Amino acid sequence: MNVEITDLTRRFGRTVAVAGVNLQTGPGVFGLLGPNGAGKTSLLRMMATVLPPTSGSLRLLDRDPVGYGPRKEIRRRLGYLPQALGYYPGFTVAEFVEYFALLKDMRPAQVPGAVAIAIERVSLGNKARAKLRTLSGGMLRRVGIAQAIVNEPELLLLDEPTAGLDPEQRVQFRALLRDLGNRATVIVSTHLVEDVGAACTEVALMNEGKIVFHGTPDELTVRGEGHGTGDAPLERGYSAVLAQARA
Amino acid sequence: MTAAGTSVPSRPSRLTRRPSLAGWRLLRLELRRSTLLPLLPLLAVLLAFTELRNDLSHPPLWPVRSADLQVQVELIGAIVAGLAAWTAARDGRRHVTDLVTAACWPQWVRQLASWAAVTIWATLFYAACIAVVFLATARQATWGGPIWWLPAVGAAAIVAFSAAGFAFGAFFPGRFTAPLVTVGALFAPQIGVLATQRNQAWGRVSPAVNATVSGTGTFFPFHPGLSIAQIVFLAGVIAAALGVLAWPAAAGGRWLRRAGAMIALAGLVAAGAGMALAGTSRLEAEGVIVPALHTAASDRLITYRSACDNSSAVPVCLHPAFRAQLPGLAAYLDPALSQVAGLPGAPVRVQLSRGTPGDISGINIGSAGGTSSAISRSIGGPTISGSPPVLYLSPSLLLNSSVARISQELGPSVAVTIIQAVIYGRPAPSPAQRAVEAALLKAAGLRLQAVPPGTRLSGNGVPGPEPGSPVSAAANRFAALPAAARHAWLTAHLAALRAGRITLAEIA
Repeated sequence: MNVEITDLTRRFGRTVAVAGVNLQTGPGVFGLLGPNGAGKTSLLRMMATVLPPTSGSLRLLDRDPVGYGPRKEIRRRLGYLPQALGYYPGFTVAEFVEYFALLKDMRPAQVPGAVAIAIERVSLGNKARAKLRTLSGGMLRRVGIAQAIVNEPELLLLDEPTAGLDPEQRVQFRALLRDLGNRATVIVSTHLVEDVGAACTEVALMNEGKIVFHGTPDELTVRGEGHGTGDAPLERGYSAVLAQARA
Repeated sequence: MTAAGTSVPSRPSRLTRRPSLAGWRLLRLELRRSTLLPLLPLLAVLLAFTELRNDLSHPPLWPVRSADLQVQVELIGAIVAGLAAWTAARDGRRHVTDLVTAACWPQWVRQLASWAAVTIWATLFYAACIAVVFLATARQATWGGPIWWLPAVGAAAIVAFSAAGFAFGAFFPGRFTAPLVTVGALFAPQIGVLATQRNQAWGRVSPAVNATVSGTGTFFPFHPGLSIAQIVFLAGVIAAALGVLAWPAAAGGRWLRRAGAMIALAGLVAAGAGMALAGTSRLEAEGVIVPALHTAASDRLITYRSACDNSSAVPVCLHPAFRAQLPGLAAYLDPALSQVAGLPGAPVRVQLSRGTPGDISGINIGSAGGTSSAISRSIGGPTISGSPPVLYLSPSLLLNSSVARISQELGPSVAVTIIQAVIYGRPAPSPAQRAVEAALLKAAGLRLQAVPPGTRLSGNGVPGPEPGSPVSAAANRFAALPAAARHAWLTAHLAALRAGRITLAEIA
């Protein structure tokens, strides 16, 4: 298992963002669904080793991130796209991706090639020399994805990766996700259920810091039959599970 | 976005990774996108109209220009400190903290790369300033060479400002940190200056204080003790500021944080040592002395072969550092010298006085403390002494002024000194002596003013006889003679004139 989470809790003062989550997952694309404030981002940040848990245990890529050495090894094999992507406006697309490739301890000789490939994979090859300050929101999101995949991570954490992408780009991105999921564990946090339906092999639904559903997209669809509201079967399953959890 | 079809590089092994090369590439990226880089032209224009302009207006003496370069670091340093703080706060300001934290490299190493980029550009910029000033000086100066210790202190100060500013920015990444750091860095060196003025010798550790006095490097050697103490102090500040960056838990692993703590501690020790050394310093006539770093052998005055101008009535000889001022000075002195050249008592040569370092620097220590309150400054005027007589000029005159300013400051006093030395033979001048003196001064091109009889020269005024008086009539009569006739008459009658035996009527 690439991700093993046991009773993971994170508090911010009196607010419990993540409340005793248990989760195990291996290679494949894992969708993390949930309404705003469900705790998806906090859970992803803990998995990205940028936010220490308040309690519980977390094993990533068979390592405990509490120790500095194992944490460093995890980070070397990690790709992370935060929800609010920050960037250095003066850097070009290629420089920004190269910067993170170097920070991820990639072999310097491999960096230029890996950067070019990552940029091509997010269809920004013609913008490689463009300054980040000149890019649109959707393009910046793709730059964020490029930096996350540049090191061909074994664990890829994507927080709202399709926000700002146009429909064509989203379709292409889902194909990219499926491809990455063949080799790595990809965890995608989103509130867009169609992304999950199209790309994920496994899905968990969070509400108020807890996982209230864990299964396949088909199982989630089944939960919505005859219940819930929504235009698509998966949306009906999503709303049915949430309604049940809230009840 | 493409799903597949492109091969992805395989994961590097631990053994084949080359951190130094990766570090260099990271530094190259930071150098290319440093905040300081686009601001350098603006900074260059700012300096060109302030510090550099001021530096190049000073006399073209290597020690003076070298000291200027150290002192001008205050403005550059403050700007660099602010920009370093701005760079350090970049991740928080740009919301990149999560991204960089999730990366593998220790935060400290990444921060060092960002800091190094700012510092390298700042140091190169300072080196360019040094090059501009020294190249200009090389074309103007006629003797000596740069005192490298002084710009070395400046360079160390630039790096220290950058490190301290970066540390502030890293720990207090607010929007107002950079401007506050800039203002703070502008005033921080002045703490040392104020302390020095209040007799606290440790204040000399500030890079705003340099180890030279008037005459250093020209008449007596430069003593690098204070510069060494300043560099030790600044190196300590650099180490402490960079070491402190490794303290936070996110900075890196245990060993790295321990190394950071050791570096910070070593930095504090070095800074304390530098301050302690500066605390023992004394301002002597030949410069600032740090006893622990001073050797008596270095106290010997600099020997030099004078440079002379023989185009005027008598040779004018100066220290070769002032060779460029020789023609101007000779032209200034020639009108008076030519009136009396060759007469008994007239100077046969003009040269700089060879006094003590105190005479040269104008600093005379009044007590053992060597602090500023015990210092009196005196700049001597021209004197004629010796046999044959020599007109001695004080080196401090030339060290502190251009020829134009010297002629302004001394006014007619040199001409009066020269002519009185020849004409006057007794304390109370006779009417005939006063008439001849007035005539010679008038012939030398000076404008005379009527003053009561017996009044000596005061200030810049030239005393002259009252218009219409017998003395004035005799002076006008004598001044109207051709120069050769005046000189011939003086040659024949000077002894009698000096003895007071010549009457007004006997003046030709």
